[in-house]
This record gives sequence, structure tokens and C-alpha cells, in this order.
Amino acid sequence: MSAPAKTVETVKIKVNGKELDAPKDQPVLQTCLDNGIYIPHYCYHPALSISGNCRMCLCTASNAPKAVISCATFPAEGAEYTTESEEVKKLREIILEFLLINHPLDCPVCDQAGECDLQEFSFRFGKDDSRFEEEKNYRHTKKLGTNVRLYGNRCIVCTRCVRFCEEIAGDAELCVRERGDSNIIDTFPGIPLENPISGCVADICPVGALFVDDFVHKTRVFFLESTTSVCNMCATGCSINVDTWQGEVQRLRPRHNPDVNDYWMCDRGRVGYKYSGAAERLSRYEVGPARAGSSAGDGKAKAGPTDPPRSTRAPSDFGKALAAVSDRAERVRREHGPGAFAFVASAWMSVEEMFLFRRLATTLAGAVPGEAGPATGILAVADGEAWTPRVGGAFKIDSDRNPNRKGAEMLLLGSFISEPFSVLLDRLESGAIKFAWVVGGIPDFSPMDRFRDALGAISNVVVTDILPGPLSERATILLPAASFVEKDGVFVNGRGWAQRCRAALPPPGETRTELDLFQELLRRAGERERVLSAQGVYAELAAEVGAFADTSYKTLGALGARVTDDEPAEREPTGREAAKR
Amino acid sequence: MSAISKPSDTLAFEPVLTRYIGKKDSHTLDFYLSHGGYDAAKRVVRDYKPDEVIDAVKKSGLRGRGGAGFPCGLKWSFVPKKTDKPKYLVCNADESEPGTFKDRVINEEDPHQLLEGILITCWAVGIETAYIYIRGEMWRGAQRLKAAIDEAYAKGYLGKKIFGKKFNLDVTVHRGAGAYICGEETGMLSSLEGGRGYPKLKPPFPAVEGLFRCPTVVNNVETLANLPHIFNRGIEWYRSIGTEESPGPKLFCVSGHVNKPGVYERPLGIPLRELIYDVCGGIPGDRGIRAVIPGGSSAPFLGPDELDTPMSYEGLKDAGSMLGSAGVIVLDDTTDLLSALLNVGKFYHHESCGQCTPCREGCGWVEKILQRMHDGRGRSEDIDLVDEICNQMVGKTICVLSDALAMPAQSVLKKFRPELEKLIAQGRPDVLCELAREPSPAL
Amino acid sequence: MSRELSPEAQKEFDWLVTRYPQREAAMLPTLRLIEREFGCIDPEGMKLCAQLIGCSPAKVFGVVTFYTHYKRETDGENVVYVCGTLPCALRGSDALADYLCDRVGIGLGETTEDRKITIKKVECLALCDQAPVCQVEDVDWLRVSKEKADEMLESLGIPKRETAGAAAGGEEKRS
Repeated sequence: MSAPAKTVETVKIKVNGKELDAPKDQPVLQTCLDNGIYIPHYCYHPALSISGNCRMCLCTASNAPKAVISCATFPAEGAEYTTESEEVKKLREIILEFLLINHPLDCPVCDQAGECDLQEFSFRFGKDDSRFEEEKNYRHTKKLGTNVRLYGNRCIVCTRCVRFCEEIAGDAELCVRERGDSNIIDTFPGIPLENPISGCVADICPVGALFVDDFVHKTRVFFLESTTSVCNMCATGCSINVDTWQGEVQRLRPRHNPDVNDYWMCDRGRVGYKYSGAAERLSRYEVGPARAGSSAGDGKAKAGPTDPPRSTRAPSDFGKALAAVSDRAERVRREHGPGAFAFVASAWMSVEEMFLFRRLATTLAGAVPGEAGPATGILAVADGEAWTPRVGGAFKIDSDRNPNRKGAEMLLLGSFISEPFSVLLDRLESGAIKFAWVVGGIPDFSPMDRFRDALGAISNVVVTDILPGPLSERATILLPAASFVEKDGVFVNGRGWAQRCRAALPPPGETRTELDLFQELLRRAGERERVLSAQGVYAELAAEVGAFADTSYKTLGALGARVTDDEPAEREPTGREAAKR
Repeated sequence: MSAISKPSDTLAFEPVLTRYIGKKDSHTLDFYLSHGGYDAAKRVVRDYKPDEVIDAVKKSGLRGRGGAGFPCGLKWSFVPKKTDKPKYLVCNADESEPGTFKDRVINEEDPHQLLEGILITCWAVGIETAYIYIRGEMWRGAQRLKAAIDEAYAKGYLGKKIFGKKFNLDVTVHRGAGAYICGEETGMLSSLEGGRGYPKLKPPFPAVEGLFRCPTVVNNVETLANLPHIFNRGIEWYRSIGTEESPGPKLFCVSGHVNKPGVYERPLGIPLRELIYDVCGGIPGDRGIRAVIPGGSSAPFLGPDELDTPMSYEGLKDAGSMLGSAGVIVLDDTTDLLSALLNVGKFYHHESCGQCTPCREGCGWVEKILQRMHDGRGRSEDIDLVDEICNQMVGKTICVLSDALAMPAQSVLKKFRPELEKLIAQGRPDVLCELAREPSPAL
Repeated sequence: MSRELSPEAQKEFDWLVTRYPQREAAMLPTLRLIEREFGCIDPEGMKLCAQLIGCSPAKVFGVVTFYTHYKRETDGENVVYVCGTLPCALRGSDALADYLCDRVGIGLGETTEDRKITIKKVECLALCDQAPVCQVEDVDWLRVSKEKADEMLESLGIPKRETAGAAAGGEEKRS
């Protein structure tokens, strides 16, 4: 599954009478899971060192007198392991009875209910009663850090979270304190759990002890609809699940992808959906007149802030707004030629959108041999701080905070954008540009002053964006856009790994996706016959752009695929591999 | 009962391990040297090849004195001969099994005997670093051991080129800090590595991968103290003491209701009755015996009809109990067994490290039920329930701490059931439900 | 202001770490050193330990709370450990603990208001033939009768009761 294509030494074992080739260095538990033989377990996690404390995965082995924990049992040639028998059934009942005696059984108010391994295993493997009639122990409930909350009474001390903080995150902010059945997870007084991926402890908590604060008492998990997607907060592009209910994103969770993010995602990405549900989301098409005082052909545009033209825009709709775009572009092209156009893409667009936008630019601006083409550029946010875990795997927080810069390099650089951004700025300020189309889609984006001011002086500024801000304020035609949770498309991460983003929700209000928008304009211009799905557009793109050849939504699947020839980064050993040395 | 070879004449027995205990300055190097100290180690290091030492120890039949009784020479032979990793010896001086106080005597009164045993072991196994892990509470033992180590370094018995051979050895005293589980050999290793005293998953066993993930021998203090004598007096002599399966002298710790509690060195196999009546002067007030714990509180209780059990590994095993650390706790016939069992339950609950589910949850559960029974709120089904919980605790954990509660508890439930049933039926705390009403150093 | 070891203690620490192939192994002895230097192990002491050892404070926190024999900041100047395990219990350690608590006027596990004395139960001190046994700092009190208990408390500044009889023999105390 995750292992690179190396020869794995295997031995022959039997599990429940079925013969299996078991990798020598892999616990029997993992081999069973890989072969569809389910063994319940809590403390075992494939990315962490083996602790062997929960005892839930006890099974029997032909070469051991006592029951063995399959998570810490490595296969012996010819050995037979039994995971389904009366004896094993009894063992599981025993462990579950013990696990529940001090558990508060407060499932009705527990956010884990519905995806809780304690519930699940009790239902599948447990007994329907308990003989425990004594008083239960009490352990603390507290916030461990800004993002993580602990409900100590529900903790089964499997220590996944402690091992995660030590082996993966690296700061070891968590410990088990006290002893015996007073054992409880805690932080050192005054040093809270604040590493950049702290929320992962909630993902790996098999019970209802740890939660990401953002999700506490928010939704019952069994109501959630889950969509596999890709995070948009940096160039790592973590594989995620977008969980929604009643038209709102409730949470993002990392999805295991050994080539991208292992099991993890960062705390910033985890709440990276928030802007998509913001009350001030742009959701209405608006069209205003071309900017007065700087109408076509009247010389140099004035630099410096100008009145945002928003007040002059009037509500419109998809069709009328598109007609306005077409009409204005047509006029500018006729009066000034292709050199009066500027098209500014964004490193937050999907590759399909980039592919269409590039084509749309040619269509709207036209081309006159010997004359300058449109000015082009791309918006991206500045680098943030990079972060890598202490050991292990593919996961990192990329300093590049744009989800698709790599895709932009592959689709737009050279072909569409051939000059540095400063040339775009010069041309925007020259007064020669009469029609600029800026695709934003970047939350909290603050464009550089020159860019912003130049836009304010251009007669026709089409802005496609998600949130109001300096860009939308300067638009003469405003086209609301879909956020990453509302659209289908492919994003290429910093290491050249293409993954599919899927719409989990419809865009707000009347908003149509950019994919629809661009295609509809192309259709009106007679450039294409019909509006395709993202999958269809991707197929066109794959046929045209070499790097994507032979890939399709089908081959990308849930985990994506490499689309660059860049040398793949050496895969670091995961926590356990590293621990083995 | 299987055929058990007769122990040697216990009355004619001359102690060796405790020979100098009580003598003035017995803990000093001068004293030790003036009584033939380090002769054995010198001879072994100069004249024996390491393999020959291991062979000799195997032949002597020396079994681990810490509790499990594992053959010492065999344990050493599991350490890989060819390895590029360093090897370690950890001497288990974390004596904390209730009713056990034998190693304390050696550490405090004859530490050089232990150091000599350590020298022999390290020569045999090819070890250059040894640690003595001593209980944090035993401040005097730690002091005496440190002083003895300093003396040995000064004399050249530790350090580089010991006895003129290519043999280096460093010994360090490492104090624990109050955790019974650190007496479990892998819990001890975790603690020595600077962590919580969590027992480690086995395999790998310490001999292959122990301290700092290197091959490690873990031996009890008394085990190591036996070694100089084996090489001073010979294997034949050694095997002439004790039984065929349990050769050698043994330190028995007798406490509780006996007239002369203390540490007594006797041959393995001495009958329990002889130990209690002849050695320890019988029961105060000539009262009868209700029960005896023969091997530290982890050992199943014996009833008054089992006093002829030989105090050997095999003898006690046949009697359904174990020699363990040979901590003999005698309970006279005024003792309330439920209180005694509750005390044992509290101990294991308090000392469970909390790693494994069955132990973490089971020990506390058992204690809670026993407490309830003790408080006069027992139910008739509680006896079977505790027995069943104990069954659930046995054999499912990383170490045997949960077994160490389950085994004695089950023995009491089985052997003294009518008494417990009577207590439950009374439904109120009996006057007997206290182990003693006064602090009673003298009984 | 972060804490520092005294030069002598620092020297001892520097020697300690040479005794182990891994620095973290010096954790327990380092905590002893800090306990001795600062009278107890409080959060600042744990931080200092973490800094010296090169691990996270949380790790030290987990270690310190695992063990029962380190003096904690909540403990009094003198901790009276009363062995409560079976051999001592058979000889009246429960009653002894009650007696001590009664005399000092605190409950088991509590500390006097002047922070002089804490009384705690401790598990088997391996002096079972001398039961019942107490340990006060580095002194073992053996065969502790009520009279002996009074003597012990007197050494901690609690005057004897008028009614108390003659003290028991002095050899039954080791320091």
C-alpha cells in the first residue's frame, strides 16, 4: 500500500486457516488488516511505535502458549494465527469489559459517538452487560492547547497521542501522568499543546477523549456527509475528507495518503474551510459601467488610490453578467486590440480552470500578428513558514501557501505567462490596458499597492473572487466564485502530485463555478459546443498538456498521481521505521 | 506431589551468603579482603575463559533468586557472543516485593560480595558497564554500595585492566524513586533509561535487546552474591546444598506473626514448618496459623495444612504456590483474611503501572470489591465475581503484575471460602476486620 | 527567571551524564540532585531537569508523577512515610498511621499548616522483620510502638505527651 516498490521479505503464515505471505518486518495485525482480516485494536497505529498496551488485538498463535497481541507479533515461518475463535471472542469480551468499567458511558453527549472504536468494538465484540457496580474513577477534562480538548474520563490511555507528539510532531508536549488507573494524559503546567499539527491527536484518538476544539458539540457525526478532497492551504495539498451537514462544512479531516501527507494535516489547514462559510461571501453577480474618466483611449491612467467603483455596480445575474463581459471585451478588442487586455490568474485555481482561462484569454483578446498580446500574470500569496515533522513520511507544511502553484507552472508559465509580474504592473499602469480580468479566490489576500491602485484606474475590471476585498472593490464587473469545497478540479502539489478536489457543497446563492463560467463564455464565443464537467475538461487538458497525458479522473483515483518528471523526494521513514533504526 | 529430592541436612548448615552479617565493618573492603574477598573473582578472571564461567554456573544449577527462578547460566548464554553493540549488566536491587528484605542485608552489610559477583558475571558475559538499580527508599544500601564501588575503583578491582587482564568494568549505582514495577526486569530497564517504569514488550528479551536496545543481563542481588562462593568452593559443594532442582543456599525472609522475624540463610528445600517453628521460634502466644504466604505477596497463600511444603522452586510449585523471592509472611489464626487480601489488593492497585488494560482496570476493580466486602457491603456473588475478574487478569498483559494480584487472591477465595462467605453473610464489618488494633512491634 | 544548579551540583551532574551512554538515562539521578538542591521537585525543578537532560518538560512531568518517592512541592519539610504493606499491617501499621495523624492533627496524605510535616503511606520498605516501620527523610524508624512514634514526632518538633512512657532503645533507629 504505502511501501515503496522494494522487495519485501515475506514468510508463509496461516491466519484462520488461510495461507498468507506475511512481510517479515510487519506485525501480524497489519498483515491481517491488509488482507481484509479485521482485528480490533486501539493503541496500534501504523505510523507510530508499537506500544502494545490496549490488549484489544489479542489472538492465539500456534507457537505461543499464551494469547499474543498481534500488533507486536512478527510472523514466524509456518506459524498459524487465529483471530476468529471462541477463545479470541472471549478475550475481546474481557478487554472490552475492563475498558468500560471506568468509562462514563456518556455517548449521548460525546462527539465521538458514531465513529468511536469503543462503541464500535463494544457493539461488534463486546458483551451486552457489565458486572461493574462500583464507583467510577474521575479524571480531568481540560483544554490541552488552543485547538485540542481532553475528556479524561473517556480516555483509555492507549498513548497514541503521546507517541504522536514525541515521534511525529517532535515537541513531546504530552505525557501520561500518575500511575495505574489514575493514568491521565496531560501537558506540563504552562506548556500547552501548540505544535502546528496538534489537531492530529484528535484524529488518531480511537475514543472520545480528544477533540479538535472547533468540532466540539457541533454536529452528530452520523449526520455528516463526507467528501474526499484536497486541502488548499499550502502546496502540500493534504488529502482530506470534507465533512458537511445542512449545507455547511463541519470539519476537515486528514485522509491517509502515503505520498502526500501520511495521516496528518496541519491545524491551519484544518480550519482552512472557514472562509468558505463566511457571511460576507460574494454570491451575487454585479455589473457597473465602465470606469468614467478613463474611458477607452484617453491617455495615461493615474496611479494612486481611486474611489472603489462598487457603489456604481448594480445587481445582475449570471447570464447578463457574462453578456456584459463579452460585450465590453468585444468593444475593447475592436477599439484597442489584444494589447489592451490583461489576464491575471491565480495559484489557487484548479488546473482545469487555468486551462480554460488560458483559452478564454485568447478568445476574448483575440490575436493580431505582429501586435502585442494581452498582459498576463498570476496572483499568489507570499511564503509562510515551512515545517517538517520530527520523523517521517511525506507530510510537511510547505512554505508555499498556494495550493496549485505547481499546476500554474505547468499550465501557464511559458505558454500563457512569459513575463515577470513587474512587466504586468508596468503595463497595467501604462494606461494602455482597457480590460483586465483578475481571478482571485485567495482568502485574506492583500495585493501589492501598485497592483491594487492600477486596477482602480482601468476602465473595465472583471474580478472573479470569493470574498470582498481590495480586488472586488475595484471590479466593474464582479463574478462571485466557488471555494475549494464547492468545486471539482485537480490541484498539483509542490512535489508534482496531482489530486482531485471534489465539491462537497453547492456554491452560495446564484454563484456558478468558474468552470461553468469560463466554459459558458467560450460557448457564447463559439469556441466550444457544450459545458462539460470537470472530468471532461480534464480529459481535454490531458490530451493537450504533455505532463498530464495518460491521466484521467479515474487514474488519479482517491490518492492522486505524480504528473511531473521531477525527481521524487526521498521518502523519509515513518515513525516506527525510524524507531527501528 | 512429585518426587522431591531430600534437602541436605538443614541443621548442620553453615551460612555463606550471610556469614559476615552483623560483624563490625563487614561492609568495608578491608574486612572483605581479610576474609578472602575477591579471591574468586581474581581466579575466575585470570584462569577461566568466559565460556568456562558460564558452563560452571550452568553446572552449579544456580537459579535466579529474584522470583522467577530462571537458571542463571542459561540466561547468560542467551546473550549474543558476537555483537557490535555494548552489553550491559543490570543488578536488580529494587527489592520491593512485600515481605522481602534479603537483598537489603547484602547491599548494606556485604556490598563487596555483590561487587565480586558482578565482576564474575561481567567477565563471563563480556560486559564493561554494569548498573545496580536500587530502590529509592534504600538510602543506606545506596550509600554503602557507592562507598564499596569507590573502594573497588581505588583498589583497581573496577575500572581499566582489572586483575591485569584485558577487562574493563564500570559500575554505577542507580537509585529508583518509588515504584514496585521497577523490580520487573524490563520495567527496571525503562526506568534506567530515564522513563516511566513501563515493562517492555517481550520478545525481544533483554538478553538480546535490553537496556539502550543492547544485550543485557538482569540478575538479582542474591543471585550475584552466590557466584563467588560457587567458584571458591566448587560446583560439587554448591550442589550438595539444597535439592537437585534447587541447589544452593537461600535467604529466607520471615515476617508477620512469628516470634523471631528476620532473614535466615538455609538450604533450599527446608520445610516451611521447620522455618517457622525451628528457625523463627514459632507463633507469638503459641497461636495457630491461619495462612502463610511463602514467596512474597504475589505468591498464592498456603493453608495451615500445607506447612510441610519444602521451600524449593519445585516444592512450592507442586503446592500450587511459588518460592518467588522467599518472602515468607506468616498470618496467625486471629488474622482476618479479607483484610489481609484487601491489603494485598491495595498494594497491587497502587503499584500497577497502568499500561495494560486488564491490569490497570482489573486491580482497581478487585480492590473496590474487596473494600466493599470489607466494609460489610459484600454480596454473595462477589466471591465468584472476584475470582472471575482474576481469571480475566491472568496471562493477558505485558508483565505479570496483574497475575501477582490474581494468584494470591484466587488462592484465598478458594482455600478460605467458607470464612469469606460467613463474613459477607454477617453483613457488617467484623471486629476482626482489622489486622491489628495497636502498633505492635512485639507480639 | 530560570533555575540553575549550584556549581557543585552542576559538577555532580556533569559526572552523572558520563555514566550513561544516553543522556536521558540520567533522569532519575538528576531529579534526585534537583530534589536535594531545591528541597523538592516543583515545576521549575522539572523544567530545569528537562533542560539539563535535553527532553521536553512534559516527559519529566510524566516521569516524576510515576514515582512516589520524590518530594513534591505540596509535601512538608519532613515526610513521614508509614509502611502500610501486609507485614507491617499485621503488626499494626494502620493503627500507627491513625495515631500519628491524630497526634499531628492532619489526615493521611496531608501536610501541616506550617508545612513542617506530611504523613504518607508507603508501600513495603523491605524492613518487614522490623515492623511496623516508618521512614522520615533519611532515617528509618523500626519497630515503632506508640512510644517510639512519640519519640519520632519529638524529633520533628512535636513535644511528647505527658503520659508517654520511657523511650524505647535507641538502636532501633538508623540514620
